[in-house]
Amino acid sequence: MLEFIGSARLAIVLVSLLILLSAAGALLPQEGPVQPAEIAAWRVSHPAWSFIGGYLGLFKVFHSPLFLAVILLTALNTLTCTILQLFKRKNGGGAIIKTTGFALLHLSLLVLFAGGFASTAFSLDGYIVLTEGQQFSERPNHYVRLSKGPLRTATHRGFTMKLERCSAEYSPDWRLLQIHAQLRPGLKNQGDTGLLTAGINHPAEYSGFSFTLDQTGFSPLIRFSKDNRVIFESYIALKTLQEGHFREYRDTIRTPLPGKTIITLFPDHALAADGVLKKTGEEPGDPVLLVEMADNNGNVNWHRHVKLGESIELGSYRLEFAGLRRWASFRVMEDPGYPIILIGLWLGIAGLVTRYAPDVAEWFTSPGNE
Amino acid sequence: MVTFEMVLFWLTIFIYVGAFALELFGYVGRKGNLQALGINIMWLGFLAHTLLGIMRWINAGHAPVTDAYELNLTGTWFTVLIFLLFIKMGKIQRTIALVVIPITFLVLGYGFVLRTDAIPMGPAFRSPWLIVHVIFAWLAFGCYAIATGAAIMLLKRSSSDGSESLDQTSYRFTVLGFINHAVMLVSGAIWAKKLWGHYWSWDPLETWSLIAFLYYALVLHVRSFWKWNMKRAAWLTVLGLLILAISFWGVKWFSPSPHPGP
Repeated sequence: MLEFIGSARLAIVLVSLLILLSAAGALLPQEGPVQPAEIAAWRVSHPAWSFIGGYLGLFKVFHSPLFLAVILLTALNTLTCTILQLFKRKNGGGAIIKTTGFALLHLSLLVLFAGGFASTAFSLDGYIVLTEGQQFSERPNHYVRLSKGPLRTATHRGFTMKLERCSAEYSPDWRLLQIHAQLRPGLKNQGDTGLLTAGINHPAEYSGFSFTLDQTGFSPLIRFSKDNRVIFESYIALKTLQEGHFREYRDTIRTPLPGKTIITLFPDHALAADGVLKKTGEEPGDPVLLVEMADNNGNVNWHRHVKLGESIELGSYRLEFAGLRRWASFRVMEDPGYPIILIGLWLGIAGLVTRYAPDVAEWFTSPGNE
Repeated sequence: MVTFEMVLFWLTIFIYVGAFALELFGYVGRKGNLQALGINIMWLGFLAHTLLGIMRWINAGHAPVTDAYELNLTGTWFTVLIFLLFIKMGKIQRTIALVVIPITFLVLGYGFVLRTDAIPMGPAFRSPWLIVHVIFAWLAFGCYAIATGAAIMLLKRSSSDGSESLDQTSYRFTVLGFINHAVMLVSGAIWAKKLWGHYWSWDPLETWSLIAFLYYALVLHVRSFWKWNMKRAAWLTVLGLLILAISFWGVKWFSPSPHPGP
């Protein structure tokens, strides 16, 4: 029985199953990355695949019981195989090195499985958007989006993270080169803990959490009033819409006015002869907001533009462009599995190299094949 | 694409095609001197290829590892380098050039079709892990391509004379490719953690890369434990390169992914 569980035959079958399931995960739309509506539409147009896929859980294959079962069996097979191989007598230095490499390699697989399990079961994965000066508190309702592993019991830490400053570097043709975000963490009853810096490819780490910078944009301060009474005054984080390396900063804001109020920010602008606004830079130089009033079908009825520090009348209302700051978005993660994964990865490399080093050495020292 | 760079590109392609023609005529006509000349011409092509890479580096202002054209340019450079070095050491047969050279100019050509403009390096690529990830990806591809070349030449043989040597070459380069592939995955995971916050997201490009890795693990298991070799193993190796080609170039055609690739 043990021989079967640790057999290469079983390993080959299990790896083949992993390949097939992974291929299904890569070819079929997966819940999570793909919106439910898109998956539903795909299933309607592919009824046969929809039936098979739905029955086998292939639309969420990497979290399906079938995939988990194959992973568990593979882990068991790997463990048994490694133990059995270690008990087999080997002769010669080369054989000992190969056996050591074999054991390391297969041990690394077990470590990777353990790390993957820890990541899936215990991690926290959230997303936040902060405007300069805004503070994030590590609590559930402060995340834009939050998911936790099913076995995670750790309570929220409650520390704060304030975005002190955000800046971006651009090439002469406005391609984004880097974003720099300065974050100030804080714990209750503790003093200044100093500044952290995050950039793309350079996440900030604090209290076991990583803050991975995702995107940046602009938050104009909009003051909306009527008869000198302020109805709302807020920094509004405009969406950054990107096509190639060109960016637009735009969003729809809710106002008491009928239809839709769409605002687009031009960080620096020029007015063409025909009155059309043209963006002339990514850094705030002479910023202007284009305010468009559209009906519910999105047809723009009229538009005005307002410079920083100025206001425009919208019927009986007044909209003032009172200030401008940057926002930055972060993926916030606490992943106890990652250190385990790192160990497993390096162990795997060491195992591979050790296992095949005698073969490669023999190849290089043997006569040629020409 | 700057004019001089364009000239170098087509010169490289032309030289490789010339080398292939010499190899083919030498192989069909059993003229070893033509095949030897083909290898020498290939060295010339490699020189032009190197100059092309340097020119691209200068024009773009960064290592040629970001867009599809640059990745294919670098990848084929590594493939040819590995092949020529092992030919020089007398470790592999010249006839494998009949597969390696067409792979080279087809991949180069495909990269040319996709994009030619040199652009500054985006922030996502400004990481030392990019260099590690890309280099080992292409070393893996180069080794697998040579393994496949040996496999194809083995399949073409009607007699067993020389087949064992081709089979050994195919196995050894599969092993080398597998090790490089592992480093590619490791470095990719570390880079993904820093760039996206998570080391593995099951996105289509990552998943296909893992599929290719698992497939080659399967090939090595089958060779070691079931003692599959010669033609059976050769077919497995050829299929492996097809899976690898999907993971490198085919994924974007049917699955969108945030992951930049060739």
